[in-house]
Amino acid sequence: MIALSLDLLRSRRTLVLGICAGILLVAVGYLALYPSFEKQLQTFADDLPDAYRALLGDIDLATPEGYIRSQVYSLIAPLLIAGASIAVGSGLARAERDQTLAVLAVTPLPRRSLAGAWWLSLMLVAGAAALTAIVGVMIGAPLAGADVSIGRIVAATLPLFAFGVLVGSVALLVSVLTGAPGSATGAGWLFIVASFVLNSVGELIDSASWLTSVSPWSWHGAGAPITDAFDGWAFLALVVGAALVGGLALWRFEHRNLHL
Amino acid sequence: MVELAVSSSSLTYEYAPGVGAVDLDLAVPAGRIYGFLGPNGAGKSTAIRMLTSLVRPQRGSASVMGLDPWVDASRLHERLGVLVSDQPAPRHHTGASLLRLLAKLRRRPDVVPNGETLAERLGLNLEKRGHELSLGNRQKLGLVTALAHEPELVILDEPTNGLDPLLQREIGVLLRELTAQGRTVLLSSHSLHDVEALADHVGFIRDARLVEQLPLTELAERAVRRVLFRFDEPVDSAAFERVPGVEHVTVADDGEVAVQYRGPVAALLSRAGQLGATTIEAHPVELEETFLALYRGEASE
Repeated sequence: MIALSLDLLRSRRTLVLGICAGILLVAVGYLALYPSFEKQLQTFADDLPDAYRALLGDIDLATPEGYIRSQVYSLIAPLLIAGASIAVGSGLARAERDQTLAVLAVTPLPRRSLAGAWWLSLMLVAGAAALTAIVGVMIGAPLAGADVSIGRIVAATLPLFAFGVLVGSVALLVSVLTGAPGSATGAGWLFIVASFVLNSVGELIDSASWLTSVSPWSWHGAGAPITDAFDGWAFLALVVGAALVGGLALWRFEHRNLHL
Repeated sequence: MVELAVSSSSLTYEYAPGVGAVDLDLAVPAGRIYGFLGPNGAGKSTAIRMLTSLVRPQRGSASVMGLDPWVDASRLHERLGVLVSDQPAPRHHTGASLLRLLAKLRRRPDVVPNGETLAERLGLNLEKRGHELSLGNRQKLGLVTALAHEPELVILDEPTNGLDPLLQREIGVLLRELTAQGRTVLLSSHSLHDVEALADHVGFIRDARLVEQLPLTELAERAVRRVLFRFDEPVDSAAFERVPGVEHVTVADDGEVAVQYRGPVAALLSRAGQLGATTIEAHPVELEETFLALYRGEASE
């Protein structure tokens, strides 16, 4: 299974390199620019309406740490990590549609291991992207004038990795259920958008604040450990969610007819 | 009793009523080449999917080398080589890297040297990537990956698709070598020529159902044969129509009588002799007519 996972990773190396380069560019490039418009940001942050500030997760844009969270952790990094995972998770359906799965499906590798190879592969891709984010912030934080420990950077990035795996697992599950790569990709992005909207509505409307707590988007914390405590429960929710969805995908694939 | 490599009882998977494979009672003798013949869409690939653990039968059962294809898939795949119809080659792999991957997945390091030997024999360049291969070369790579682990049973769906006649002949030789080693081959084809050239046994599938299954020699015995007799004087067709096995008689004014018959020829020759036939011209057995009759759904008996 590991041999196949590494092979799948190799087949998506352009994607992985592109995503990692993007994360590195955002982390280092954006953070290096911070000192040049720190004052403008202060004014901008002061003028922000409360509702919009809430939408940003009450991140203080005027501090280097807040800037790191807003530019890296709140949107770009989660989207890139999750996007890479979706691409790999939907790959199983793509291999079924173009029939390249045939040569693998008749090896002694059990079906669950076959789907498991895709699952492990999406974890490796999300892991590579998350690791790049850690390295990027480690390089970029001092350039932005922030004093953030490696432990805090890792703690902020770990939930993004788990979020990416959860979203990729959703794409994998739909791959297994439908064998349609378009549906799998769409389901992954729908999951992201839906959880983002739930989180936003919860942030904006007091009576619906419970929506935030059930939204996986909020569970990744938008880099909260950079300034605050690590939310172990939210991280656990992401891990358990990913395990349940991925496990369901593996179980279902074992019982799935393959019309290759 | 003949040892069977593959057997099934009422094996069924229907996509829609009458579409798929219904109530298949297959009997593939071990150590033989079994040709699974039928028109496109008749259900050959569906049957193969059930036998290779890709699709779970809705009804009935199958035994492939003593294993249930669905329940014992992993154990079966250790001993089974499969080529699916129009099997594509993975884009990012060269033939060589695909063999290395399969060697790891099968935990069989000999897959690489075996595959290289087969590729050389088939004239396949293993350094080309999947998307660079022509249809014929993709087919060759599919055959190499199906055979490189030296399986006991080989199931090939349309194996000669895209191959030139020389290679088709080479595949025939290769498959004969496999059966000489005691291995079994089940190949599907819509080509009468392929099956006639390669197989020892044939099974005909039409409209999702197995309509006939028999040794090729027996099929030849059942085949419609044609004999042309010449007489000095015109004869009455009724004189031949009553002969056992005669199916059709055409009488010409010039004393020429064309007879189509099945089965033993002795009675027919005896009658022709009694009527004073001067010459006889026997046409070679054309299995094609028999095949086509089965294709069209005409009675074979």
